[in-house]
Amino acid sequence: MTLQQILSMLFQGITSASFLALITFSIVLIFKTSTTTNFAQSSIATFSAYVITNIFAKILLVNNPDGNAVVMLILSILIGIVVGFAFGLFIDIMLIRKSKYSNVLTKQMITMGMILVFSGLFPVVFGIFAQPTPMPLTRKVFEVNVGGAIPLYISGHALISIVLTILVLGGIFLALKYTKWGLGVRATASNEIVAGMMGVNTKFITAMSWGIAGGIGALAAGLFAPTVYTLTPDLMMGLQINGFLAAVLGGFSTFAGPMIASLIIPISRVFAWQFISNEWSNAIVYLLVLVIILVKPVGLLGKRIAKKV
Amino acid sequence: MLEHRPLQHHTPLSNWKKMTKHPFFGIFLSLIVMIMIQLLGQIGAIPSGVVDVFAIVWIYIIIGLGFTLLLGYTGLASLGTAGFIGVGSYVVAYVLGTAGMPLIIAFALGIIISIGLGTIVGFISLRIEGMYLAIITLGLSEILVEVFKFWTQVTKGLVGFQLDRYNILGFAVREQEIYYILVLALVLTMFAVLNIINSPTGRAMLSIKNSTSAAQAMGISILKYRLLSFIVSTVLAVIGGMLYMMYTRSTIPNVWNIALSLNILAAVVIGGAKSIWGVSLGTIFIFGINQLVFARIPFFTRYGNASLFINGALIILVVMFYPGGIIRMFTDLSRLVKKTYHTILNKVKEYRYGPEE
Repeated sequence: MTLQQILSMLFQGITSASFLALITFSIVLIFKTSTTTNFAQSSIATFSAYVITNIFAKILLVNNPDGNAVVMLILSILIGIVVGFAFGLFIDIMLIRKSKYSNVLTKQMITMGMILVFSGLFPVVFGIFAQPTPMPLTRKVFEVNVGGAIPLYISGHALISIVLTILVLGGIFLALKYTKWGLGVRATASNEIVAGMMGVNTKFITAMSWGIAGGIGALAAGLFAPTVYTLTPDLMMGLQINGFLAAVLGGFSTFAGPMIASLIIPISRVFAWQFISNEWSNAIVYLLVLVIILVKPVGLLGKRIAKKV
Repeated sequence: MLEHRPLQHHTPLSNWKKMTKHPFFGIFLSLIVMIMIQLLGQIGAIPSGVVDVFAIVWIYIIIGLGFTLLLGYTGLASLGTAGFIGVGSYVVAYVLGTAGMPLIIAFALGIIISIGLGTIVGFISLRIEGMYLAIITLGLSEILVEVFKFWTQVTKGLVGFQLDRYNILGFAVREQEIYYILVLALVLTMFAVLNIINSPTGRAMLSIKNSTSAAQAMGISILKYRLLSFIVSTVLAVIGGMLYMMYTRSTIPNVWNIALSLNILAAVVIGGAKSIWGVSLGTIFIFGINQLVFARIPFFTRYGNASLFINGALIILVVMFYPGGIIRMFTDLSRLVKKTYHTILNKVKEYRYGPEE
């Protein structure tokens, strides 16, 4: 095992961690403001990925074939983010808020119903065939010499994904800490009723969180889709399951815990893949996470919250 | 004071009325309907494809009845159902197909495995908050699907497991005979679940759903009832999987995915999570109508999964506005009919005898 191999594995792990971190963050953001786990996150993200691909490959690229591909891709990703944002807002404003009977279980079931709604929409809107994803950003592969015989290959796409993830999540963390919206989110997260009494517009905060989560999911899907080459309706489902496990593992009650967990899970999967078995790596990691959750149910960084009954 | 009770006459009509009020009457009636469907299929009045669809629906009703104890009574949403069904199908596949042992061993093994799985999930559910349970069971289901995919010595991997025709107690059985086994299993399950929900156990589960803390304060053991509902629902899911394998004789890992778990959830929620008739109606709607009606409409055949849209939209609508489900609609409708009947009667009386003083 050379340094080059270890570095290459770490890089792989961090690359998949960048997609996972985005999805996990969007799940946690929704959980913090409206106390529900959004199972439809992956479906919204996948829908946005379809929108991005279709706009990029079928509209922009066809109409101006000699334009700058990167600019067009960024434009279509932005449109995809807007679509994700709109779907997030829709679920909160039109479904969850309008629900006549609302508790934790019903909110969860509404989002589960949304998965089925989206699975029904995909073939009708985008056709039944899997679509290839164009990826102008990945053509470039950097070679980094770290002293071994074989240089380290780093794809441009992975590099861009990692940098974008760090920028977006960093920006949102700063916003959470220093802006009025962030203060509102933290207040709503700690107690919605009291926050409302103190003059926080909790409805606006919640709706914005759903929208932003949808947008982040769209970005994650836009970055993730080219790495698997084809679009399928369950493109993001695996990532979402990992995101949920990461969120529980890190502790839903904090923002930082799930981020750390979403770094741990992909890296440990890459190492399990390399050292134990490439078929069983997924199952091993899931099992480990489940065992840790069983031992420490509040998560790695979570604190036990005493609840008044 | 002496109360004057009217004399009870046991006329055939009153006997019949009393019988229809009995809770088991519905089960008896559905037994007749289920057998009729098979008989009609055998004489050729119904195409055999339709009988197959109904057979699968009966299996999913068994699974849904187990699921309703979890969702409708203990108030826990699980997304691991599909994985458990898959376990059942592979147990039958392995024991009958690879090991060549009789079916009874498959059932014994399946029930032991399902009790084990149910206990594990039940204990997990005690450690974590109810909301995370859907996530954990989803993760567990993923692990099971990975096992189905990669434990190729037992499951034959991604290509799936095809079972040859087999014997039960030395008799070579065809689909027609297995159908009656399904019906028997469904009737027994209906009896069992109806008894559980109408007993102190069911009421204890319902109290846990409404408030865990209040139930605990009343001396109801959360451990006991959560564990019980998990074990019962897992056992029924695994039995459903075994029956599925017995009937269809084929299983593929990719069938046991989250969409199936969600469809079972949809069936239970749309039909009405608190009544066995609601669950049955919901399952017939989700799994039966889909195959019998939508599969014939060109739009839905063209766009594979498009009918899922309707299932999802119905879950959302029922959860948002009508938590009782379809079964509630019947009682509401009959109440509405009675109310309008009385208002009309009063109007007629008013018209004939003048307004009341």
